[in-house]
Amino acid sequence: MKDRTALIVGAANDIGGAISVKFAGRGARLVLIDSDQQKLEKVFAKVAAAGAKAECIAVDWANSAAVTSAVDTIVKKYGALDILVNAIDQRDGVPITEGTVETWERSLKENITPLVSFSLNVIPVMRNQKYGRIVNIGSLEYLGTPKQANYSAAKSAIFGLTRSFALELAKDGITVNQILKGDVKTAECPLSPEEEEKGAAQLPVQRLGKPEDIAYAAAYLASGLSGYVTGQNLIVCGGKSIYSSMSA
Amino acid sequence: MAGLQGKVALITGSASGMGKKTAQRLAERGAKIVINDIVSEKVDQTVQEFSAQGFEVMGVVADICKTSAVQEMVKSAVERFGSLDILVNNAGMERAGALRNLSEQDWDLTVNVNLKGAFLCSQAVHGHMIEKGGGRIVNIASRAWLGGAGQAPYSSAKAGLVGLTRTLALELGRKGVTVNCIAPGLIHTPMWDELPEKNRNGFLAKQPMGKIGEDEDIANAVLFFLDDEASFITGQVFYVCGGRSLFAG
Repeated sequence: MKDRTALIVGAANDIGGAISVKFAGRGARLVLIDSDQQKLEKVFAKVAAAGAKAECIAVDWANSAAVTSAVDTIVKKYGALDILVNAIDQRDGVPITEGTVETWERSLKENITPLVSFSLNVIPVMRNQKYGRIVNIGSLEYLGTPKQANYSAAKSAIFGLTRSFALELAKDGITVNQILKGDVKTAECPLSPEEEEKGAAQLPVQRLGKPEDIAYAAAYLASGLSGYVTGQNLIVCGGKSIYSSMSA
Repeated sequence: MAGLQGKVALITGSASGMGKKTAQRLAERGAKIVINDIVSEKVDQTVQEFSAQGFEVMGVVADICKTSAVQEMVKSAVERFGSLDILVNNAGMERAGALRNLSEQDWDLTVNVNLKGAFLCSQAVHGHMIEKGGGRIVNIASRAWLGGAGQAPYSSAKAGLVGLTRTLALELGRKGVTVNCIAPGLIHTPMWDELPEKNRNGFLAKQPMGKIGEDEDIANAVLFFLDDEASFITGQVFYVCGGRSLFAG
């Protein structure tokens, strides 16, 4: 992906940050995007310190006009946009008893609306250049998790969206794939040592995931090496998915 | 992707096609290669080509459907290179036909090469991997495991390979051995070039990308799973098929 222009949306969270660092190491030109300016600048400092060609833009991604304007600015500046990684993740599930229409709408609005918004703005640019890589970061929890129904449903949306986009864009040189993260230890989902030990013991590989595990997979799907792979779900979960019928 | 310096890789069915391409890419990254096939001329030829490129390589002519041959192959590989870190169960073949036209021999041969061979090779190597604290097994299945008219033995064997992949991933996960499965779709082979254009177009019309994949696409996916950085990925079925797995028909 050397000298490819990559947009990392949700770069301020742990996984988005690890993806940014990984892509920087592979020589991509990076535009880091998040709605949280303070956290974004911290990630940016780390990536810039490693000598990457990068910039960061804080975008209020709930506002579709702001997304359009950000993408326009980037395209004008770089003349190309090769890679879009959607790493936004708000694990905001609630038990059924606490669920309201508002909690459901919030999950979709926070997890899906920005993903759709960036995709719709970026796809015409990729179509014009007949090349593109879209990598959506989803979660194995889309399969269903107690007390996470609204979050799980929002993550399910990525499944159909990824496959539909992939089919529609298959002849345009654009691949669209999803990485499903399993139990990954991040700053956003902190665990006590006891919880971590218990969680690790339940996985076939006996350890929890790290943001770098996801970043490694994202680098492959965002590279020129995966040109015949589209519409796929790559599950990065230490083998947890094997217990589910919907993982093959 | 990091290099594979010092790693020893056995790739079955690697004297031609995607197995050979995969072996080539592994060798370029520094792996020591064990070439295997049942046709000795092809093995010799491949070993010569690899040696000429300065790769560390040995060839073993062995029928992977036979326990003793597999054990002998693994033993000689470990004797020569000291260990075995990577196994790519790539050897495959197909006897196709409508249900009423298939013989017991068609079934046995197809299931033996595609499934039993992978089982025997995995069984023979996994102890060496555990001894070294980890390893990588990649099985080459096929998108056809989802089912294909006229492909009863092949589809069944490849479906079996998916079950084997997931089971071994569960068994070997705690030992640092990951086991994954690649399911190729339509891939360019010498047989493809011999098809009448009308037939080729018929196949391509069903491809979302409108194109056929190359050996290189499979080799790239194998490399992805072999990396040290892929240690949290196991038990997966990964389709390299140009999106063909997304819809039925």
